[in-house]
Amino acid sequence: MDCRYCHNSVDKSAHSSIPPTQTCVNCHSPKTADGQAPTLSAVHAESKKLKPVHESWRTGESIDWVRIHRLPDYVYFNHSIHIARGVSCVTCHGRVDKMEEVYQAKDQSMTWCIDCHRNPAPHIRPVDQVTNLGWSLDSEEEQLALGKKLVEENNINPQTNCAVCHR
Amino acid sequence: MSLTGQEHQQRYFRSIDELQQTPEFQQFVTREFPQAASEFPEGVSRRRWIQMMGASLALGGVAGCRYHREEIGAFVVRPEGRVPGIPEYFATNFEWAGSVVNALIANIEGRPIKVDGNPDHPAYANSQPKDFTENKKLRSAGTTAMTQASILSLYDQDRVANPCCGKSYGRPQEVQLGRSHEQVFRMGCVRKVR
Repeated sequence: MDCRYCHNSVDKSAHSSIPPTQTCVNCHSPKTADGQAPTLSAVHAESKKLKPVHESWRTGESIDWVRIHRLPDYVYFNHSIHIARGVSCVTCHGRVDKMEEVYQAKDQSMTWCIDCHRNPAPHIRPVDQVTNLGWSLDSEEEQLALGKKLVEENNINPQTNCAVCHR
Repeated sequence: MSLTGQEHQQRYFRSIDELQQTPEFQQFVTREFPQAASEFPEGVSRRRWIQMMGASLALGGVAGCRYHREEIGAFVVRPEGRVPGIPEYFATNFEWAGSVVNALIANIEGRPIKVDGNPDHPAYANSQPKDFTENKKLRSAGTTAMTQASILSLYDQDRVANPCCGKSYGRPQEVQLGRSHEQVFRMGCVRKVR
Protein backbone atom coordinates (compact mmCIF):
# COMPACT_ATOMS: atom_id res chain seq x y z
CA MET A 1 0.00 0.00 0.00
CA ASP A 2 1.34 3.40 -0.98
CA CYS A 3 2.07 5.82 1.87
CA ARG A 4 0.36 8.52 -0.13
CA TYR A 5 -3.03 6.85 0.05
CA CYS A 6 -3.38 8.39 3.52
CA HIS A 7 -0.61 11.00 3.66
CA ASN A 8 -1.85 12.46 0.43
CA SER A 9 -0.41 15.96 0.65
CA VAL A 10 3.18 14.78 1.10
CA ASP A 11 4.11 15.46 -2.53
CA LYS A 12 2.18 18.73 -2.73
CA SER A 13 2.81 20.53 0.51
CA ALA A 14 5.32 21.07 3.28
CA HIS A 15 3.22 18.80 5.49
CA SER A 16 2.61 15.14 4.86
CA SER A 17 -0.58 15.68 6.88
CA ILE A 18 -2.44 13.32 9.18
CA PRO A 19 -5.33 11.75 7.28
CA PRO A 20 -8.88 12.62 8.32
CA THR A 21 -10.96 9.85 9.88
CA GLN A 22 -12.85 9.72 6.61
CA THR A 23 -9.77 8.27 4.91
CA CYS A 24 -9.42 5.46 7.49
CA VAL A 25 -13.10 4.65 7.19
CA ASN A 26 -12.83 4.15 3.44
CA CYS A 27 -11.39 0.73 4.29
CA HIS A 28 -12.05 0.28 8.00
CA SER A 29 -15.66 1.28 8.30
CA PRO A 30 -17.52 0.16 11.41
CA LYS A 31 -20.59 -2.01 11.53
CA THR A 32 -23.88 -0.19 11.52
CA ALA A 33 -25.78 0.33 14.79
CA ASP A 34 -28.00 -2.73 14.20
CA GLY A 35 -25.00 -4.98 13.56
CA GLN A 36 -25.31 -5.00 9.81
CA ALA A 37 -22.32 -5.12 7.54
CA PRO A 38 -20.95 -1.64 6.86
CA THR A 39 -21.82 0.17 3.66
CA LEU A 40 -18.20 0.84 2.83
CA SER A 41 -15.39 -1.66 2.87
CA ALA A 42 -15.14 -3.67 6.09
CA VAL A 43 -11.50 -4.50 6.74
CA HIS A 44 -11.39 -5.59 10.41
CA ALA A 45 -14.77 -4.00 11.12
CA GLU A 46 -14.74 -5.28 14.69
CA SER A 47 -11.07 -4.86 15.58
CA LYS A 48 -10.41 -3.40 19.04
CA LYS A 49 -7.46 -1.45 17.70
CA LEU A 50 -9.78 0.41 15.36
CA LYS A 51 -12.07 1.49 18.19
CA PRO A 52 -10.77 5.09 18.28
CA VAL A 53 -11.37 5.36 14.52
CA HIS A 54 -14.91 4.07 14.75
CA GLU A 55 -15.57 6.21 17.81
CA SER A 56 -14.36 9.28 15.94
CA TRP A 57 -16.51 8.43 12.93
CA ARG A 58 -19.58 7.97 15.13
CA THR A 59 -19.17 11.08 17.28
CA GLY A 60 -17.45 13.46 14.87
CA GLU A 61 -14.63 14.11 17.36
CA SER A 62 -11.02 14.10 16.18
CA ILE A 63 -8.75 11.15 16.77
CA ASP A 64 -5.85 12.32 18.93
CA TRP A 65 -2.86 10.92 17.12
CA VAL A 66 0.35 10.95 19.14
CA ARG A 67 3.00 12.88 17.33
CA ILE A 68 6.20 10.86 16.91
CA HIS A 69 8.28 12.87 14.45
CA ARG A 70 8.61 16.42 15.51
CA LEU A 71 11.06 19.06 14.40
CA PRO A 72 11.48 22.17 16.52
CA ASP A 73 9.40 25.19 15.58
CA TYR A 74 12.47 27.02 14.30
CA VAL A 75 13.08 24.41 11.63
CA TYR A 76 11.35 24.65 8.30
CA PHE A 77 11.00 21.32 6.56
CA ASN A 78 9.22 20.72 3.28
CA HIS A 79 8.16 17.16 2.49
CA SER A 80 7.20 17.74 -1.13
CA ILE A 81 10.63 18.76 -2.41
CA HIS A 82 12.28 15.72 -0.82
CA ILE A 83 9.72 13.40 -2.41
CA ALA A 84 10.08 15.15 -5.78
CA ARG A 85 13.86 14.70 -5.74
CA GLY A 86 13.93 11.03 -4.79
CA VAL A 87 14.48 10.98 -1.04
CA SER A 88 12.46 8.03 0.20
CA CYS A 89 10.13 8.07 3.22
CA VAL A 90 12.29 5.31 4.67
CA THR A 91 15.37 7.55 4.72
CA CYS A 92 13.91 9.69 7.51
CA HIS A 93 11.14 7.53 9.00
CA GLY A 94 12.59 4.00 8.84
CA ARG A 95 10.57 0.91 7.99
CA VAL A 96 7.20 2.21 9.15
CA ASP A 97 5.55 -0.70 7.30
CA LYS A 98 7.32 -3.17 9.63
CA MET A 99 6.61 -1.31 12.87
CA GLU A 100 4.04 -2.70 15.28
CA GLU A 101 3.82 0.78 16.80
CA VAL A 102 5.51 3.69 15.07
CA TYR A 103 8.64 5.01 16.71
CA GLN A 104 11.32 7.45 15.70
CA ALA A 105 13.87 5.30 13.92
CA LYS A 106 16.32 7.98 12.81
CA ASP A 107 18.20 10.76 14.57
CA GLN A 108 16.53 13.69 12.87
CA SER A 109 19.19 15.92 14.38
CA MET A 110 20.76 18.84 12.58
CA THR A 111 24.01 17.05 11.71
CA TRP A 112 21.98 14.14 10.43
CA CYS A 113 20.11 16.45 8.04
CA ILE A 114 23.29 18.20 6.96
CA ASP A 115 25.17 14.94 6.33
CA CYS A 116 22.70 14.14 3.59
CA HIS A 117 22.57 17.71 2.29
CA ARG A 118 26.36 17.63 1.89
CA ASN A 119 26.46 14.20 0.30
CA PRO A 120 23.05 13.18 -1.05
CA ALA A 121 24.19 10.40 -3.43
CA PRO A 122 23.85 7.48 -0.94
CA HIS A 123 20.20 8.43 -0.28
CA ILE A 124 18.82 9.42 -3.69
CA ARG A 125 16.70 6.86 -5.52
CA PRO A 126 14.44 6.91 -8.58
CA VAL A 127 11.39 9.04 -7.86
CA ASP A 128 8.97 6.19 -8.63
CA GLN A 129 10.53 4.12 -5.80
CA VAL A 130 10.22 6.81 -3.14
CA THR A 131 7.28 5.23 -1.33
CA ASN A 132 8.53 1.68 -1.82
CA LEU A 133 10.03 1.21 1.64
CA GLY A 134 11.54 -2.20 0.87
CA TRP A 135 13.42 -1.00 -2.21
CA SER A 136 17.20 -1.21 -2.28
CA LEU A 137 19.97 -2.03 -4.69
CA ASP A 138 22.17 -5.06 -4.17
CA SER A 139 25.23 -3.23 -2.92
CA GLU A 140 26.31 0.11 -1.57
CA GLU A 141 28.52 0.68 -4.59
CA GLU A 142 25.56 0.30 -6.92
CA GLN A 143 23.49 2.72 -4.84
CA LEU A 144 26.33 5.22 -4.81
CA ALA A 145 26.74 4.98 -8.58
CA LEU A 146 22.99 5.37 -9.18
CA GLY A 147 22.78 8.18 -6.62
CA LYS A 148 25.62 10.06 -8.27
CA LYS A 149 23.99 9.63 -11.67
CA LEU A 150 20.62 10.90 -10.41
CA VAL A 151 22.22 13.85 -8.61
CA GLU A 152 23.98 14.76 -11.84
CA GLU A 153 20.96 14.23 -14.10
CA ASN A 154 18.41 16.02 -11.97
CA ASN A 155 20.80 18.75 -10.91
CA ILE A 156 20.21 17.98 -7.23
CA ASN A 157 22.05 20.59 -5.27
CA PRO A 158 20.90 20.59 -1.65
CA GLN A 159 21.70 23.77 0.23
CA THR A 160 23.55 23.92 3.52
CA ASN A 161 22.95 27.58 4.13
CA CYS A 162 21.50 28.21 7.64
CA ALA A 163 18.55 30.10 6.21
CA VAL A 164 17.37 27.14 4.16
CA CYS A 165 15.86 25.51 7.24
CA HIS A 166 16.05 28.30 9.81
CA ARG A 167 14.10 30.89 7.90
CA MET B 1 -14.59 57.03 42.74
CA SER B 2 -17.43 59.08 41.43
CA LEU B 3 -16.40 62.02 43.63
CA THR B 4 -13.12 62.38 41.81
CA GLY B 5 -14.72 61.71 38.50
CA GLN B 6 -12.28 58.88 37.76
CA GLU B 7 -15.08 56.64 36.65
CA HIS B 8 -15.60 58.68 33.55
CA GLN B 9 -11.98 58.88 32.59
CA GLN B 10 -10.53 56.78 29.86
CA ARG B 11 -9.20 53.53 31.28
CA TYR B 12 -6.04 52.15 29.78
CA PHE B 13 -5.12 48.51 30.10
CA ARG B 14 -2.26 46.29 29.03
CA SER B 15 -4.11 42.99 28.85
CA ILE B 16 -7.60 41.56 28.89
CA ASP B 17 -6.77 40.14 32.34
CA GLU B 18 -6.11 43.64 33.62
CA LEU B 19 -9.27 45.01 32.08
CA GLN B 20 -11.36 42.32 33.72
CA GLN B 21 -9.32 42.39 36.96
CA THR B 22 -9.13 38.61 37.14
CA PRO B 23 -7.76 36.92 40.30
CA GLU B 24 -4.68 35.81 38.33
CA PHE B 25 -3.96 39.38 37.43
CA GLN B 26 -4.47 40.62 40.99
CA GLN B 27 -2.00 38.03 42.19
CA PHE B 28 0.47 38.94 39.48
CA VAL B 29 0.40 42.58 40.50
CA THR B 30 0.77 42.00 44.23
CA ARG B 31 3.48 39.34 44.00
CA GLU B 32 6.79 39.81 42.33
CA PHE B 33 7.25 36.12 41.72
CA PRO B 34 4.73 33.33 41.20
CA GLN B 35 3.53 31.29 44.15
CA ALA B 36 6.23 29.55 46.22
CA ALA B 37 9.09 30.96 44.19
CA SER B 38 10.04 33.66 46.67
CA GLU B 39 9.53 31.86 49.98
CA PHE B 40 12.34 30.13 51.79
CA PRO B 41 10.79 26.98 53.27
CA GLU B 42 10.78 26.85 57.08
CA GLY B 43 12.32 23.96 58.95
CA VAL B 44 14.73 22.98 56.22
CA SER B 45 18.42 23.21 56.84
CA ARG B 46 20.66 25.08 54.44
CA ARG B 47 22.39 21.83 53.46
CA ARG B 48 19.09 20.09 52.72
CA TRP B 49 17.94 23.10 50.72
CA ILE B 50 21.01 23.01 48.49
CA GLN B 51 20.53 19.26 48.00
CA MET B 52 16.95 19.76 46.93
CA MET B 53 17.77 22.55 44.54
CA GLY B 54 20.61 20.53 43.07
CA ALA B 55 18.33 17.55 42.50
CA SER B 56 15.62 19.63 40.87
CA LEU B 57 18.15 21.23 38.56
CA ALA B 58 19.50 17.84 37.54
CA LEU B 59 16.01 16.40 37.02
CA GLY B 60 14.99 19.50 35.11
CA GLY B 61 17.85 18.76 32.74
CA VAL B 62 16.63 15.21 32.22
CA ALA B 63 13.08 16.33 31.48
CA GLY B 64 14.41 18.82 28.94
CA CYS B 65 15.92 16.07 26.81
CA ARG B 66 12.55 14.78 25.65
CA TYR B 67 9.80 16.55 23.84
CA HIS B 68 6.58 16.52 25.77
CA ARG B 69 3.87 14.33 24.35
CA GLU B 70 2.05 16.14 21.60
CA GLU B 71 -1.18 15.10 19.99
CA ILE B 72 -2.52 15.94 16.59
CA GLY B 73 -6.27 16.15 16.31
CA ALA B 74 -6.95 15.34 12.68
CA PHE B 75 -10.10 16.26 10.83
CA VAL B 76 -12.89 13.74 10.77
CA VAL B 77 -13.82 14.99 7.32
CA ARG B 78 -11.28 17.29 5.72
CA PRO B 79 -12.83 20.30 3.98
CA GLU B 80 -12.92 19.83 0.24
CA GLY B 81 -9.92 21.21 -1.58
CA ARG B 82 -7.95 21.82 1.61
CA VAL B 83 -4.31 20.79 1.42
CA PRO B 84 -2.65 21.27 4.81
CA GLY B 85 0.21 23.75 4.48
CA ILE B 86 -0.98 25.28 1.22
CA PRO B 87 -2.83 28.60 1.47
CA GLU B 88 -6.34 28.89 0.09
CA TYR B 89 -7.59 32.18 -1.33
CA PHE B 90 -11.06 33.54 -0.88
CA ALA B 91 -12.49 36.51 -2.74
CA THR B 92 -14.69 38.79 -0.71
CA ASN B 93 -15.96 42.35 -0.61
CA PHE B 94 -16.42 44.58 2.36
CA GLU B 95 -16.92 48.19 3.18
CA TRP B 96 -14.18 50.08 4.96
CA ALA B 97 -14.49 53.72 5.92
CA GLY B 98 -17.09 54.32 3.28
CA SER B 99 -15.34 52.72 0.36
CA VAL B 100 -15.67 49.27 -1.12
CA VAL B 101 -12.75 46.86 -0.82
CA ASN B 102 -12.52 43.95 -3.25
CA ALA B 103 -10.29 41.65 -1.35
CA LEU B 104 -8.58 38.35 -1.85
CA ILE B 105 -7.85 36.80 1.55
CA ALA B 106 -5.15 34.21 2.00
CA ASN B 107 -6.19 31.53 4.42
CA ILE B 108 -3.98 28.82 5.85
CA GLU B 109 -5.34 25.87 7.87
CA GLY B 110 -8.65 27.71 8.14
CA ARG B 111 -7.10 30.91 9.46
CA PRO B 112 -7.00 34.11 7.44
CA ILE B 113 -3.46 35.51 7.35
CA LYS B 114 -3.35 38.22 4.70
CA VAL B 115 -5.71 40.66 3.03
CA ASP B 116 -4.85 41.82 -0.46
CA GLY B 117 -6.73 43.33 -3.34
CA ASN B 118 -8.44 40.97 -5.74
CA PRO B 119 -6.81 41.37 -9.17
CA ASP B 120 -9.65 39.38 -10.77
CA HIS B 121 -12.32 41.79 -9.63
CA PRO B 122 -13.62 43.73 -12.64
CA ALA B 123 -13.37 47.04 -10.78
CA TYR B 124 -9.65 46.51 -10.52
CA ALA B 125 -8.92 44.51 -13.65
CA ASN B 126 -10.53 47.05 -15.99
CA SER B 127 -8.54 49.93 -14.61
CA GLN B 128 -5.18 48.30 -15.29
CA PRO B 129 -3.02 48.18 -18.42
CA LYS B 130 -3.48 44.93 -20.31
CA ASP B 131 0.06 43.76 -19.60
CA PHE B 132 -0.78 43.73 -15.93
CA THR B 133 -4.00 41.79 -16.15
CA GLU B 134 -2.75 39.21 -18.62
CA ASN B 135 0.63 38.50 -17.13
CA LYS B 136 0.14 36.31 -14.07
CA LYS B 137 3.41 37.41 -12.52
CA LEU B 138 2.44 41.06 -12.60
CA ARG B 139 -1.07 40.46 -11.36
CA SER B 140 -1.65 41.98 -8.00
CA ALA B 141 -4.07 44.50 -6.69
CA GLY B 142 -3.12 47.27 -4.35
CA THR B 143 -4.77 47.95 -1.04
CA THR B 144 -4.61 50.66 1.54
CA ALA B 145 -2.81 50.40 4.85
CA MET B 146 -6.18 50.21 6.56
CA THR B 147 -7.24 47.27 4.44
CA GLN B 148 -3.96 45.53 5.21
CA ALA B 149 -4.51 46.08 8.92
CA SER B 150 -8.12 44.92 8.77
CA ILE B 151 -6.84 41.36 9.14
CA LEU B 152 -6.46 42.13 12.87
CA SER B 153 -10.18 42.71 13.23
CA LEU B 154 -10.78 39.06 12.34
CA TYR B 155 -8.93 38.09 15.52
CA ASP B 156 -10.67 40.65 17.72
CA GLN B 157 -11.95 38.90 20.84
CA ASP B 158 -14.97 41.17 20.96
CA ARG B 159 -15.92 40.42 17.40
CA VAL B 160 -19.40 39.01 16.99
CA ALA B 161 -18.91 35.31 16.37
CA ASN B 162 -22.24 34.62 14.72
CA PRO B 163 -24.52 36.40 12.31
CA CYS B 164 -26.81 38.87 14.04
CA CYS B 165 -30.29 39.92 13.27
CA GLY B 166 -31.93 43.07 14.47
CA LYS B 167 -35.54 43.65 15.29
CA SER B 168 -36.94 47.12 15.18
CA TYR B 169 -36.24 47.47 18.92
CA GLY B 170 -33.82 46.06 21.47
CA ARG B 171 -30.40 44.52 21.00
CA PRO B 172 -29.65 42.55 17.88
CA GLN B 173 -29.80 38.85 18.58
CA GLU B 174 -27.05 36.49 17.58
CA VAL B 175 -28.08 33.66 15.33
CA GLN B 176 -26.33 30.50 16.49
CA LEU B 177 -24.89 28.44 13.71
CA GLY B 178 -26.91 25.39 12.86
CA ARG B 179 -30.30 27.03 13.38
CA SER B 180 -32.93 26.05 10.91
CA HIS B 181 -34.55 28.51 8.52
CA GLU B 182 -37.75 28.24 10.49
CA GLN B 183 -36.03 29.22 13.75
CA VAL B 184 -34.25 32.12 12.11
CA PHE B 185 -37.52 33.26 10.66
CA ARG B 186 -39.19 33.16 14.07
CA MET B 187 -36.46 35.36 15.52
CA GLY B 188 -37.68 38.03 13.20
CA CYS B 189 -34.57 38.27 11.03
CA VAL B 190 -36.42 37.77 7.81
CA ARG B 191 -39.62 39.41 6.81
CA LYS B 192 -42.09 37.63 4.69
CA VAL B 193 -42.27 39.08 1.23
CA ARG B 194 -45.68 38.96 -0.31
